[in-house]
Amino acid sequence: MSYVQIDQAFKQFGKSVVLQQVSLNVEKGELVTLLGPSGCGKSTLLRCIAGLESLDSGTISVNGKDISQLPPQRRNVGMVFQSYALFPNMTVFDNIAFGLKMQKLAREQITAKVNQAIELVHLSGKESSYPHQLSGGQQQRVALARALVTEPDILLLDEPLSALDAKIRKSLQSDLRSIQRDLKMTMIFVTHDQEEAMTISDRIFVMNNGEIAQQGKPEHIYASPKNEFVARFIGSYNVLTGRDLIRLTGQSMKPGTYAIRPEVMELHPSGEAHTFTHDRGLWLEGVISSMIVRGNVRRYEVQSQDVTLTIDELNVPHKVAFDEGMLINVRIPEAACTLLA
Amino acid sequence: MKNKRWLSLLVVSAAFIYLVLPLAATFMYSIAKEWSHTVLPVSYTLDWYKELFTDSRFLAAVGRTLTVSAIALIASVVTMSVTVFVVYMYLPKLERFLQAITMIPFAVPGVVAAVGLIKVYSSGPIVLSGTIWILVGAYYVLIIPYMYQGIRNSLRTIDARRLMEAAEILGASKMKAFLQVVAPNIMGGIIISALLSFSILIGEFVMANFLVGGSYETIQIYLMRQLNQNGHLSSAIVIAYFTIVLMISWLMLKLGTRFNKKEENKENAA
Repeated sequence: MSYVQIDQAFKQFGKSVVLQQVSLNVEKGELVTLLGPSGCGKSTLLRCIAGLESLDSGTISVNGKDISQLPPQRRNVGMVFQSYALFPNMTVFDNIAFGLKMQKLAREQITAKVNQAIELVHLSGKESSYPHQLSGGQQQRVALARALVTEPDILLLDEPLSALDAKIRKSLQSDLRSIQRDLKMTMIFVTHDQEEAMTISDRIFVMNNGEIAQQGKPEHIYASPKNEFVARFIGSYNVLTGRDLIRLTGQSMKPGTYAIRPEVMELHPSGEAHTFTHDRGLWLEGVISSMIVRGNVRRYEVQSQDVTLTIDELNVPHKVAFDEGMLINVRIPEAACTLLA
Repeated sequence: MKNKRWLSLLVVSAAFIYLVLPLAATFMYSIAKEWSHTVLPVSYTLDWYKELFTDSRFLAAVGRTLTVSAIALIASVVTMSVTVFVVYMYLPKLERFLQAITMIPFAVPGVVAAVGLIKVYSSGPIVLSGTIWILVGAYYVLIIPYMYQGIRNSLRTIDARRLMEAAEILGASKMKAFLQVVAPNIMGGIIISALLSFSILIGEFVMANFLVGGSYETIQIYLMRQLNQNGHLSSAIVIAYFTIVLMISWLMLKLGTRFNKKEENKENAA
């Protein structure tokens, strides 16, 4: 039996159904991500686990114990919010100590545990600062320490890094991951950022319209999206129908919808000598309609008849970039066309 | 550009003189011993203040105003903060309704309210006419809009919902979460609303005069009566009165900027 088990969770607000019989399992010490666009039900599911919302039907059990009917105080979960939710009237120390005081621990014990937590999140020296004196990143570290110090069974994180700038977000991602590994803490992380989900998760649950669209390891989800929603959401895949592909490439394809990753397609100058028949793969012609440099990759938009393709190319100095308006040939390796369900 | 500055300076000065002149004249009159045919008083004295502050009627009237206002304020702070909190947190659908009823005191003129109250409370089942409780009740209602707005804004500013959730997940009961987390953080807002309400109450005359005028002399009624007897003394009362209101306003401003500064810091840090 899994450590966290959610069975047939159903929830609606008024007439709109937010969770449609969601079932999922999380193993002890695992970091899983609920990933999806806003309004997909991921935050609601997290709030149901925390006890801040109640399920209309279904059960949530942790470590074999059904917690679905318990108030938040008795669930022994920790939670980190996007807005930090630090108590403005308390210092860093008192914020972190709050949960321990509620557990009525002895003062020495509280001091020892709080100091340990402060060290864990690298905030030594900030004990007597107030939240408004800290940066966003520091505030979120305090919130993390406050949630961890009570040693919860699971830690729930509701888009904890979304309000932070890119650099701090990256460094907190890796800190969070290493803390999670050190403490072997079971964590459920909610985000709408697929890159973030890929970076930190053991497993990802992609959610859409209150359902789990696909679950699996990050590399698995990225490499083989099950349906069009996942393909589009997870990695700006090009989604084309078999008919489109036949029309553009002149080759026969099985009917259905195909997903093609932007980085597997190759661009070749239109005049370059090659024989379409001998070179394995699908070939099509197009015009570069735009090019953006995104750091290590160049992202091209290529117009081929009425279809726009997104193609990524590694941004290396010896390779000259194609200009807008240039005629080019595109090669798609046949194996890279994933047939979607 | 230079001309414009000159003009605005002129306008501001004119407005300032217009506002300050009556006050200055009143102050002069309150410290004048003899002042009839000259631009400035002939001789000065603090006797009027001495008389005022040793007059047991004046002190009793101040005491009465403070008593009535304090009872109304404390009742309002306690009941309104709990009510607004509960509606904000758990009954958000009622918020519009609550907002509508809290605005009623603005819509009803003081005279109308006073006459209505006298009619209702002068005969059974509850007879309050002539007691201070009818005034306490009226004052309580009068300050509801200010208290409501102040408390609700504070709750919104601190995102009380999120704070309650965070505290509850950390093991606090609803009561503990409210007392230890929400209440200390909305205290600034509550104090400012209370001071604003207080400055309105000590300036209020219509209700006091109609409801308890004869039997319970508050500072407002005392001032009214003295106006007909001695100009110097009533000037001293006005100045004393004004000083109190000024001090309260200054305190409010101080607390307000402290509150805003905190918010600013928060924004800068984020």
